[in-house]
Amino acid sequence: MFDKQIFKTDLLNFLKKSIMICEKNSEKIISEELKQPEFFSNGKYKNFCLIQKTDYEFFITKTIKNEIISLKEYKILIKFFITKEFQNYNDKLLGTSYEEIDTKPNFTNELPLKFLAEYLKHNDKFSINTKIFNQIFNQFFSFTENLLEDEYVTPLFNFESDIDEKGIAINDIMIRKINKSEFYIFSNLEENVHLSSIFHNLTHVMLMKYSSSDLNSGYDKVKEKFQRVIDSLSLLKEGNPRFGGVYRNINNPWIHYDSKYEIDIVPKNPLKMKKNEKKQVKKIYDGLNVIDFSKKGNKFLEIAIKRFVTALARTNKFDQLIDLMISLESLYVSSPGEITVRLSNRMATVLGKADSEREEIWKFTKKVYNMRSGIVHGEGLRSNEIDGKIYTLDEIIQKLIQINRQSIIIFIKIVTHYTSNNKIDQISEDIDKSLINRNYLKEFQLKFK
Amino acid sequence: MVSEEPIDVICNKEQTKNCAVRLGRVFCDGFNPDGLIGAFSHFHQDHIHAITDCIGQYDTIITHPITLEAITAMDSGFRHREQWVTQDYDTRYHCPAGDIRLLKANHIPGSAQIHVESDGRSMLYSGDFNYPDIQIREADFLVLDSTHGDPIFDGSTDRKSVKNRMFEDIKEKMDSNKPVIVQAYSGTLQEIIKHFEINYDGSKLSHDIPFVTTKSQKEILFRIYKNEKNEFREILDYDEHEFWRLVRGNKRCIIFLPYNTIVDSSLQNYFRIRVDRYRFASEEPAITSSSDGMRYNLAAHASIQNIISFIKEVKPKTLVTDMSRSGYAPQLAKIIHQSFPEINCYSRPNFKKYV
Repeated sequence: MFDKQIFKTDLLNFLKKSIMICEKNSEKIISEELKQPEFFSNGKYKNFCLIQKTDYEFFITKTIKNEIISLKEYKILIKFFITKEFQNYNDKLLGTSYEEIDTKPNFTNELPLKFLAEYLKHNDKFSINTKIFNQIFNQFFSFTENLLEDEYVTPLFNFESDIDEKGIAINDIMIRKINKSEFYIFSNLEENVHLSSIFHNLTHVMLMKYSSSDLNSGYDKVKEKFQRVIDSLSLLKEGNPRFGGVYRNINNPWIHYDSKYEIDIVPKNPLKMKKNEKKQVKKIYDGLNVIDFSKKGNKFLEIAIKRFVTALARTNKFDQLIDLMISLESLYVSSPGEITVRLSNRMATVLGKADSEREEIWKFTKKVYNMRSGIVHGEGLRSNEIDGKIYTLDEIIQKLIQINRQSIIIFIKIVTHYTSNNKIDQISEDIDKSLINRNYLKEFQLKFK
Repeated sequence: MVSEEPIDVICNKEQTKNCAVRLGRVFCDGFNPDGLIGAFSHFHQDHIHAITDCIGQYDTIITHPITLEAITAMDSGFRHREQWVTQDYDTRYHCPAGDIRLLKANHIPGSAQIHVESDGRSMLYSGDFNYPDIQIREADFLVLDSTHGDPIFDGSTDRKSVKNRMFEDIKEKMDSNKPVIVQAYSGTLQEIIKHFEINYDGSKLSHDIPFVTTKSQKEILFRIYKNEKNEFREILDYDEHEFWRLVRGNKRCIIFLPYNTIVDSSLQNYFRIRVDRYRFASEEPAITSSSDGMRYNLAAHASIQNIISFIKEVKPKTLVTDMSRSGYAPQLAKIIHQSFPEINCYSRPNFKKYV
C-alpha cells in the first residue's frame, strides 16, 4: 500500500498544523449535554448520567474544513489515498449515486479530517500527545489495511450470560457484552424518556466482520449468519433469544454508521448461556453450517427450524402450539393422510429410549395433534387430558418445545446420511422400518447418537 | 455572427454553451454585448448563468415575479438593480423592442415562454417547457428548447400521481424511522416540498419529521411560495449543527438537495429519491428502482409528441432549435421538418439547415 512510517510522519505533521487552526477557532466549537448509560454489575441498564460532549466532527468537517484542507500538510497526506485500495473504498461509498456524472467526489479526502476529530476526542488540549497519537494512528492504519471490511453489530435480546467484554467466538461471529455507545444508539437513549423493559435487560451483542465492495450486499449475508446463531442458541436450551436491528460500523470512527432491519422484540423468557457452553453452541452451529439449505432435499428441515424459532417468539399460545406442530409435521410427515398415526408412531420411535417412554410420546403426540386440529378448525381448545392427567396449555407447549428441540437436533445429524432430493421420504421409511424391526432401529439410531 | 432571420441563438466569443436567444431586439436567457433588453425564462442555472453580465449591460430585464424572487433568493444583491421588470403571465409590456409577453411554460414555478411582437412579426422562445397545460400564442418565428424530445427517451408520466406515490414511498420510510434524500433540480425541489406540505390530499407527514435543505433552496422556496410560507414547517439548513446531530444519530428526516450539491459521505447510504435526472426510455415506467433508492419521472420537459402538438398550435413559419443547450438540437430539427416540411427549420448556432 504505502510506507507506514512515512505516512505516520506526514500524519503527525498534519496534526501539528491542523491543531493550531483548531485552537485558533476554538470559540466556534459546539458542546452539548448528552446522556450516557450506566450499568449494574450484572451488565443490565441502571440509569443514565449527563455528560458534556464536544462535537469535534462537526467543528472539523464543517466549521473549519476549508482552512484545514488548504494546509500543505493536508495536501501531502491525501496523496497517500490514491492507491487501488482507496479507489475501491471510494467506489464503495459512491455506489450508484454518481452514475453518468463526470465529476465524482473523493471521500477518501475526508479521512485526515476524521483522524483529527478522533484525536481531539481523546485529547482536547490542542497539543500533541504521542501516546494518544500512536494509539489512534494504529487504529486508523489498521482500518486502512482493510478498507472494504465492515463490522456489523446487533443487540441480543432475551439473552443472559456471563460472557464478558472480550467475548466468545462462534466461528466468525462473536458474542460479547454491550458497550456504552452501542447501548446509547440501540436504545435511542437520547430521545427515550422511559426505556422499555427489553432494553433494561439488554446486556450482550453479536457482531461479525464482513468485506464487500458495495454498501448493499453485506446486510443480508450477515443477517443470515446472525439468524443461524439464534437458531443454534434456541436449539441449545430453554429461552427465546432474538436479535434486533443490524448496525454497521457503529464502533468505527472513520466511517459513518447505518442500520437495517429494525425489529420489534417482545420481552420473553431469556436464554441463560454460560460461557463454557460455547462448545455446544458451536457444535449445533457447525451442524447447521454443513447442511445446504438451498437444496430441495433439506427444505423440510429448514421449515422445521424456522417454525420452531417463530413459535418461541409468539405471544399467543394457540399460535405457538400450531407453529410447533407444523415444525414436527415438517420433520416426520412428508405427505397427507393418517397424519396423527404416522406422526405419533415416528416420533415415539425416534425420541423414545424405552418402551414406556415411547408409549408416553405416542399418546402425547396423538392428543396434541387432536388439540391442534381443534384450534385450526375453529373449535378452540379440545380436551387437555392426556392419559388421565390434565395438562395446562403452558405445560403442553413446554413439552412440545422440548420435543421439537430434541427432534431438530436429531434431524440435523440424520440428514447428513442421506443424499437424494427426497430425503424426508427416505428418512420416514427408515423410521417406519425401525418401528417394526428392533435391529433396524439400533442401526438407525447410530445415525444420530 | 447574426443571422438574417429575426430569431437566432448567438454565442459570444469562445462561448459554446447556454448562449443568448435573440427575438428581434430582445435577448433571452443569455448575454449579448449589443443588447439592451433582456428576458429570463426561468431560474435554472443554464438559463440565468449570464445574469451578472446582463445586469451590467441591459436597460431592461423582464422576467416572471417568481423567477425574480428565486434569482434574488440566490443572490440578494440583484434585487436592488433598477432594470428588473416583472411581468405576470400573458400581460403585455410595451417597449422600443416591441410588445413582450411571458406565457406559462409549465416547467417549474415561474417558468415562462417569451413572446415578442415587433415590426409586424411575432417571435416566441419556448424556454424549457412542458405540454399541455401551457399558454399558447401563435408566432411566425419560434426558437425551441431542445433539451428533450428524443423519441428514445420519451417515458410518459402523470406528474400528480408520481408525486403522490413519491410522498407515500417517503412516508413508508419515515414510518420505519429511516432518513431519505430527495434530489431534484431547483424549482422542482420546491414544487415537491409544496406538494408534501400543502397539495397532497391524504394524511400529511407528521410535523416532527424534520425537513432539511440548503440555505439557497430554502430561500427560493419561501420566495416563490411566499403566500404559503406559513404552511411550511421549520426547515433545517443543510449546514447547521442541528441537522448534523440528526445525521449522527441516523434519525429520520427528509433531505431535499439540488443536484449540484455534493452529498456528504455520511449520507451515502441514505435512501435516495432521484427526480428527473435520468432520462426515462419510452417503454419504461415513470417510477423505477435503483440499487440505493428510487427514480421518479416528473417529466418537466415535453415529449416529442407534445412538441409536435405545440408546434401545430403555435404555427411558426421558421423554427430554430437551440443547439447551445442540447446537442440533440439538429436531430430534433430534422424530426420536426419531417412532420412539418413547410416550416423553415434548422438548429443554431451551427446553421445546419433541413430546408
